[in-house]
Amino acid sequence: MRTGLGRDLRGLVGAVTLVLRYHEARSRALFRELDANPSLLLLGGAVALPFNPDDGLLERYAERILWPPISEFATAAAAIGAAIAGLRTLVPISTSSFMFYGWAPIVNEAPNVRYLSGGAASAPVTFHVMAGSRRGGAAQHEHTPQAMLHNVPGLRVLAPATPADVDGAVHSALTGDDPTIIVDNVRLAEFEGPVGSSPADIRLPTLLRDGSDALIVSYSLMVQQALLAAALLASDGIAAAVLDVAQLAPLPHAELLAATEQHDAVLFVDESRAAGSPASHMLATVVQARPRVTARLLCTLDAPAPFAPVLVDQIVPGPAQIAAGVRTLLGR
Amino acid sequence: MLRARRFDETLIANAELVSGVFHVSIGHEAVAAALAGSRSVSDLIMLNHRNHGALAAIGTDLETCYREILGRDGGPQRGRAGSLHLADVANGVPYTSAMVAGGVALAVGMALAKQRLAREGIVFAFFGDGAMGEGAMYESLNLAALWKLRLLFVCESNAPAVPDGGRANALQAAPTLTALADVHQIPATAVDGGDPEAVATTMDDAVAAVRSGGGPRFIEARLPPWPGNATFLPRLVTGELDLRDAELPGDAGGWSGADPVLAEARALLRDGVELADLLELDRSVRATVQRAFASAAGAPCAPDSVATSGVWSAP
Repeated sequence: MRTGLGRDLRGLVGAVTLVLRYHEARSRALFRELDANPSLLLLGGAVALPFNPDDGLLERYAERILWPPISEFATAAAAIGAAIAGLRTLVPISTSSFMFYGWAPIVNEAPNVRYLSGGAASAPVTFHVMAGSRRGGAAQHEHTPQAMLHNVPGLRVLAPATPADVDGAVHSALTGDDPTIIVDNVRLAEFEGPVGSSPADIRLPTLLRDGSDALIVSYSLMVQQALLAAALLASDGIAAAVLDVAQLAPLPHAELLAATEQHDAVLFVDESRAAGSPASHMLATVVQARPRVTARLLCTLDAPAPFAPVLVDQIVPGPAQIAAGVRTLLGR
Repeated sequence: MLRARRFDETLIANAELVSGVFHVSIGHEAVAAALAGSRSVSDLIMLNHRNHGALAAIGTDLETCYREILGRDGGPQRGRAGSLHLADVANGVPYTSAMVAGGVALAVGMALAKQRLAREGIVFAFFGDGAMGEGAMYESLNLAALWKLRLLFVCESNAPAVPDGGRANALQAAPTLTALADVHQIPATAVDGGDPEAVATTMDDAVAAVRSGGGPRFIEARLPPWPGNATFLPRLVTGELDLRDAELPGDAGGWSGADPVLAEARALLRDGVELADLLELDRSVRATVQRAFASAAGAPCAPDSVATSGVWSAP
């Protein structure tokens, strides 16, 4: 397995300082960046809260948090304007669909600032959203907006899956020069993993599990589901590798191709609906470069999120569906 | 009002059976009763995420509501919607948006349709004080006024008062919420939403004005914040309603003094109704509610295919 163009956890071992839960790594990274940049302003404070354990953000950084009314358009636009004028801003949106009222400034202002100014101006603003099916949210509270956001050139879209990923994503977003959306998922909170002594390069895909029969490529919560699927498959004698691609836009094409080139059977998994999904773009990227690869796509079925958990399980891929997808891919 | 209260109390007592978040209408029952008293069958009603009380008041089948809230099959929504999106087409509630102010802008279109199609009836748009932070709210007020729509804006304002006064609430720079309707030349009235008679009179007057074609009206029903509301599951911190408390004076302070259901019970006692009769009515309402809940809790979930059906008009 090549490691030169991807992060490989085996190569990270020497630099591992901690094993953390995902939500702990997220808070640690957020506090680190807030301490490193005293002018960083939060418009709202709901990063971990209300769905994940309280990390003390509100208490510790109360003076850094401005709480707007329920005014997503003006809040998003003000955060972008502040970033243009030199004040770096983080907007915790909480449930991702709340971003839709602020959609116009997010997709039609922020990504155009650098381009239209010929590089003279930029908007280094970060939006943090909780996307995907959290259970019980129903059709208006369980969207997968990454499939829309990654289609907007100029927006950096990061979708971490592991504690190391979220550490790198928070660092990249809050120190980088692009408007960035961190597409988070409340159901990642309790997953554990190693975190390096310095933030990982979020652009680089990470091979989280090796296996010679098939490769599962995904991001965010579906990576954790893929790892569970790989364990199921292993008990049937199928060795499935799992690749975590945390930067959805701009997609790191060369690194993705390098990280997938050892496998001839690749399953791309996405919690978005298939049409225009990040995974479908990854699949197209790989197949165009290697037309003889056997590739399949497994996404959430084309329906709004139903309320009842038993119905959610029918549309959102879980470990069993992912394992079945690998078996189909291999004809086994 | 009792139906609404007992419905929510029973749900809170069984909250472990509900997946995700739900919102109750405790403290909003007088507004719900005023809606039930002033609406007509041709009206349309846009509710919001806090919709249980209004539905209970207008006569929506309680077991159907419980089934939906518990994610069970049986109602037309079949577990797809949950508490946030409860609806009742037959009673004028075709769709419920849970987006803050989202339904208000839809209600403008509903009223426009009634106007252009020369259909009978008016449209009610219910929202909370938080919705007054959204730009959609101001665009909706402006369109409704410009187009003289038959639309009644009903703000159920349960935000705590700002200690030093001078502002409508902590997240609003305007002195009052009605002032924001005033600037769009929409006649606006603030009323004690915990006073059943006052809110019913205010609603009846506003509905009559809207029906007569005089353009939109705006009501701000100022509600005492019920202390059991929380970001996630509400808690019955004030205990179950005990109608015998209606014999205590209404100015005792605390929740008992603010509770709109007790206020209604006190008014009935003043009018000569016997407490025993109220308690008998309550027993009957409780029995109905508990039967509805038990039946819903025993109902099955919808079959798997329901998850992906109902998305399109045709395949």
